[in-house]
Amino acid sequence: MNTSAAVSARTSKLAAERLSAYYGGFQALREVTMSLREQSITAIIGPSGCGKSTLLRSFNRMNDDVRGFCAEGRILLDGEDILRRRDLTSLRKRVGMVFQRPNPFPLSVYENVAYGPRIHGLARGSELDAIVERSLRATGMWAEVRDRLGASALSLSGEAQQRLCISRLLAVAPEVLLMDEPCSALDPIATMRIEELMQDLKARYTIVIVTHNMQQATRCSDECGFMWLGELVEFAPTTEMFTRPKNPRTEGYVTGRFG
Amino acid sequence: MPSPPSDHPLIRRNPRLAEKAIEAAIRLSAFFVIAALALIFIFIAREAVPLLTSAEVHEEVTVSRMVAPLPNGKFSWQPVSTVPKYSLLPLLAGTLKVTLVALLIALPLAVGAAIFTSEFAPPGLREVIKPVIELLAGIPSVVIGFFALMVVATWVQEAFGLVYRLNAITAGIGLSLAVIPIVYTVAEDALSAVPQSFRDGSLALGANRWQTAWRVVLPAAMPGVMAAGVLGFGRAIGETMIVLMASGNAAISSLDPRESFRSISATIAAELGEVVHGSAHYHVLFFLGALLFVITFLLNLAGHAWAARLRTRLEGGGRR
Amino acid sequence: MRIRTLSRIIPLLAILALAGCGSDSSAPAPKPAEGESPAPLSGTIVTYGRENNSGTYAYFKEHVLQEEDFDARVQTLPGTAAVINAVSKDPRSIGYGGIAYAKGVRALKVKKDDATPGVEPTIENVVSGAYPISRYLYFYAIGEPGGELARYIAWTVGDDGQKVCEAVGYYPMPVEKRPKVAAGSGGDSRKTVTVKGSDTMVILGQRWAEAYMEKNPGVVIQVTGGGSGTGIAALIDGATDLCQASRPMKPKEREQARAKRGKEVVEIAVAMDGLAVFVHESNPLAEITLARLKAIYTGSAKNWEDAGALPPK
Repeated sequence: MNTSAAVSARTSKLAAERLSAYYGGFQALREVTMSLREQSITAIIGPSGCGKSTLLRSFNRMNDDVRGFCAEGRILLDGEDILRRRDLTSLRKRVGMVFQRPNPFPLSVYENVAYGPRIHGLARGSELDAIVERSLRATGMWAEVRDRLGASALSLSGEAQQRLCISRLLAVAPEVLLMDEPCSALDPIATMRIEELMQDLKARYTIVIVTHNMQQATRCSDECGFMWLGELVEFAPTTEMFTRPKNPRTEGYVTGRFG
Repeated sequence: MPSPPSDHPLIRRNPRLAEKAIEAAIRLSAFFVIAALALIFIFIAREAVPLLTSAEVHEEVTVSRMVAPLPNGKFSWQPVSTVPKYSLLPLLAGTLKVTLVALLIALPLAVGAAIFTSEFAPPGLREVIKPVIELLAGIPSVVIGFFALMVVATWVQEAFGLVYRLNAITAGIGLSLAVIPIVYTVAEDALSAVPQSFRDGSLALGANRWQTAWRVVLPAAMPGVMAAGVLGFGRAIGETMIVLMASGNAAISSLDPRESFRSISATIAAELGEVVHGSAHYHVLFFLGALLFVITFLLNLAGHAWAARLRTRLEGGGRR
Repeated sequence: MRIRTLSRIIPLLAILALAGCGSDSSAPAPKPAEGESPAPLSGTIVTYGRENNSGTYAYFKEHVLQEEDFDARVQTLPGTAAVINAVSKDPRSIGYGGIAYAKGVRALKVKKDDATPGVEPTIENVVSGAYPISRYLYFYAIGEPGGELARYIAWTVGDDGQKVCEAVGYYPMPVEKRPKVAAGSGGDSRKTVTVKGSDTMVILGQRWAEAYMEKNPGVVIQVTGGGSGTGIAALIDGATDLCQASRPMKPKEREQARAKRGKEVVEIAVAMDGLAVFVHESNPLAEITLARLKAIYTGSAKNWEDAGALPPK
């Protein structure tokens, strides 16, 4: 376990402390400790089944609905342990998630973005219109969809759908964006555009991205964690990890010897 | 030099032959179903047509006389009488009344139960609820009719303080027992088929399960849920035995659900058995059958068109 | 496997459940205190009758309503048992049906008019003709019957056949009214007779057939129901040798038969049946005139208050 990457608690937005997770008898996470800085992009890489998605989904407790799942340790959001939290609604409002496959609701573009504000009772009428516009502008799709806000979200292209999902998230003004391989269903050009969007969003949000794609991790993340069999093997600034990995397993993975 | 086995003409052709045979069989069975439907309709229509064309039948009844009020200004259904009277209105009113009551009860219950099983019930419970409700579909309608006649009628009469034991509320409750499993099972399938990713997306935004079920899953499954409703309507309007037993069969032109009524299907069932073959009454009964067929057909068509429109609206240009 | 067992059990449970509910739900109407004259019943009369395809419907319409139409509010039920059941649960109801069925309800005495005494619906009164709403049950054949058919008919109206009739719960023909049927030796030599018609008579017909076949080995009598109208239609079409009917054949039907078969229809009255008028056990009414019964079923008397004080017609 590499602890040199531990960052002082003052700048830490989200942190895992000795986090272990189980699906029934199977241990998916082994005492993971990591800290995510505000206004940065953290990538989590590792081979399939290494626990990176479990870790990501623990940050907004999306695993709670999985039968037999339990977690121990602590996850601190602004210093508060969210594993002890009862109210998931406000947690998920603060820590939003973008999924592997774009999953806009089968509603209109407008209704997709308005969904979050509506369920949280944030705004109505023209105020809601403003939120929708602002959220769509933030992902750079306002110009494209302003004239067809009533069209079905499922009629959009894959990239636009993923942007819409990000807009939908931004509409509830989250603090942390969790992205679970957000580009794996997209072509290279769309992937590039989403990565550019992430860079734009970095200024205002703490972003965590799980990816299979090491190039993507090097291109867009500031810090990077390598996971292996449920353990966080190494956690370091991205350039450092890809140029001077400390752990031989990290080196083996980032140089493509396995994985 | 012997050719490799796959080049042997028999082996090379046979799979294609088998495939063709299977395809032909499937096409044939589809054709038979359609042909059977067409034949049924032709048979009913053929027996109904004399009502429009036969001068002999017109001495006793015409379609316009079935629709217009009788000389005394009333509408009545008295086919066995010195002057037979064949007003459609009481039968239509009765059919409409009981179908509405049955659907008002069945649709919310069935769709509610479907939402519960697909969205809230733990998997173990779901494995119990679904087959049990579907078993309800296996209860013969004569048993449901008997239940409605003996038990439901007493409850309803006491609960609402009604004059008539047999009325549209009682029959509607009985009928809803037959409609619920159909609507439930189709709606549940539609709800379960909604991709988990929609639910995840909603939950990840902080929505609770109710909000997710009501605002995302139900709209996504709406075409299927509507198809369920249309099927339920078809069952309700065509169901005979339950209505025959629990409606009282009094041909009153009233939409008051507290009163007895006579439905089209029950009228056909009760009267066709003993009607003189080829009489005006006989042709009128077939005309009623054709009418029921057409109503159900049009409603199914409308339901499908509506569902298709909804689906296009949900999925946009049909991409993905 | 599990599902099949369950699907058998559930209807059974339903039936048990309703049997349980059925027994205690028989209406909670107040019984008049002893010694006092019972309070007259008030409120809407709930009328029950039979479906318009039944011989009972036709008979009641002809003899009680004198061919006037039933009120639209008369609820028609499939079978006399259903009528009895409905009346037994409904304190303000009235119904009619075969006498033999009257259990759990009270049968009213029926008077021809206000001047004559009320007559109980009993076997004696029906057979003697004193009970005003009794009817004959008929056999119909095309042309003068011969062969096995004639022998069978002659047997049913004879002493043996009439005994069977009484045993089944119908009323035998009064001896003096029994038709004389020649068990002629003519006709064809067929040993099979088909009988079709009234549901009221189907059990009677089957018992007759069984007893007759036992005495005459080699003869086959097939009896099916379907209703009087169905039987008559089958007779006209030549689909049955003999028709059982709980109502007389209409002139129009006789005409059809003549046109189609070239022979006259022969009518043989084979048994009697009475129609009882039922009310709920708590109903204080003891007797009713035919005129009042007609007023109730044609809708001119809507309340029990009217029914008690109707002017005799």
